[in-house]
Amino acid sequence: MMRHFQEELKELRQKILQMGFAAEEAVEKAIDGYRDRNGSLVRSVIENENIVNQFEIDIDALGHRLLALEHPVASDLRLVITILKMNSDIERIADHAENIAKRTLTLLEEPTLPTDFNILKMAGLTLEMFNTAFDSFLKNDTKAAKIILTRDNEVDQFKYDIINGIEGLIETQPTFARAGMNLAMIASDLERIADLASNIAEDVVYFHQAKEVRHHSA
Amino acid sequence: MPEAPFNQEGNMESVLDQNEESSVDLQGGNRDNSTSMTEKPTETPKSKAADSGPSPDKIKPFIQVTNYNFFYGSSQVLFDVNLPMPERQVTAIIGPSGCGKSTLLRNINRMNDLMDNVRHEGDIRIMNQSIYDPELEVTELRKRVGMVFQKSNPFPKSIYENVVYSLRVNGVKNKGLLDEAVEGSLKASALWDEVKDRLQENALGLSGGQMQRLCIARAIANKPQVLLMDEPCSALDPLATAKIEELIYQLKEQYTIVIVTHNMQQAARVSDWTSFFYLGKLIEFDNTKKIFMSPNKKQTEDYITGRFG
Repeated sequence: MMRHFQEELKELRQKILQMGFAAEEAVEKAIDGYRDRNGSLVRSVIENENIVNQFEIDIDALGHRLLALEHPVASDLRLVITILKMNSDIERIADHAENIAKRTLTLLEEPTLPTDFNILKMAGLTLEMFNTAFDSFLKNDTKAAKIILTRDNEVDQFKYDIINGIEGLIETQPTFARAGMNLAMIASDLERIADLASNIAEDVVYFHQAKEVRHHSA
Repeated sequence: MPEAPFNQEGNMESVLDQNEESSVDLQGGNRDNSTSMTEKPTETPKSKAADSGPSPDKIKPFIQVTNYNFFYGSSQVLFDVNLPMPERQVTAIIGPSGCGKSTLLRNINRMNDLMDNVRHEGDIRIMNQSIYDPELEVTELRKRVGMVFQKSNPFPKSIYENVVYSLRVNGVKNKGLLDEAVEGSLKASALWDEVKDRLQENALGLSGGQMQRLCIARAIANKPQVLLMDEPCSALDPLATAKIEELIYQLKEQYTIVIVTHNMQQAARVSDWTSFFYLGKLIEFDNTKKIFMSPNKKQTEDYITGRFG
């Protein structure tokens, strides 16, 4: 009974997984490109951004159609809602990956900064959060999702320290102003990716347990 | 869309004029969100249940079904049902065919007494009085508990006589009172404007939706406390269904309503509380939002999502 609807739900889930993998790849390549100062790698991130955008449109269309025509309830409804929210979160993550790529291209034109202010460590943590959040959806692992939610503060702290460090550097060595500002923006992009990963983790908890964990709900 | 990369002139505008999410406030200006760079991280998250509405434990029952078993001959059709139904709210009874939902509904005004060889155990109380109380006349009970059926069943009489039928049976003769009851009931059932100029016409000339609303008017002319509805929209088109559903929404201001429906979306739209029955047993009872967003029992989930039933 309702087999076609279950098939369509499966298709929706499949699409969000493909989209998530594409976004993961974009973030990884952007970070690797920054680390290795690899212009062609970061350019490929910018060129492939439309893949994720197309997924966003397709997933919205399918999700809205299921809501309008199939009137899902209970876990089916929560799955559609979760996927629609993840859809916009993942699209934003891919946008931030593209931002990192563009800022890296600018950095390549600038003198190399004397330090990276631990931004690669921050990037590692951010990527780990995104991978884990996405995996928690893939593997129905709410425990992992809840752990993500405790790590957002670490990323915020990284950004706080990086920006402070860059401000200090620019004050003493203004020639690094442009490079420093671009690095600050990369830190900001990473922080937003971690936030969005947290949102995904919250949605995964909501989907499985119908529990509200947003905004540090008490 | 991501913003353009930082331009060659190092224009500060292009740094600051970004979307909210990626804004980097290098001038220490307004920062009104929690992602501020200079704010220290705060506390760790705790979880709470998503807003899932009121708990059934808090219900002050208007109708209370307690340890209720019901038998047609040797065949038991209801098993140890315990169900509170709150005053002036809509309680929906859902479940696959043969689950006992109509049997329970019909027992609330003892309609099943009309059948041979039936018996019950346990009790159903309305305002804390047992419906089986020997001092309570069944006709008195049915005055207090009106019923609307799946198939509208107006009498082959005028619209006016349909509405006042039970009043006449109960000996009301005053024309003023009868007129008042007709206008009041037809207005309450959202039919008055459509029939006020033809009250003496035969009710069988009305449309299906109008006939069903006439039956609701007839049921409420007696000013009952409870309105039982057995699939009241199953024979109606979507427009007539919408009218009845809107009517149910308005009627609950005055009446305690119990509705049996096969239409999940209707239960979700009109009811405050939903009980799910399967094979004569009450599987789950909770507020309607909880049932349709995150039911506790897998059987409920499987039924409302169409995986069985």
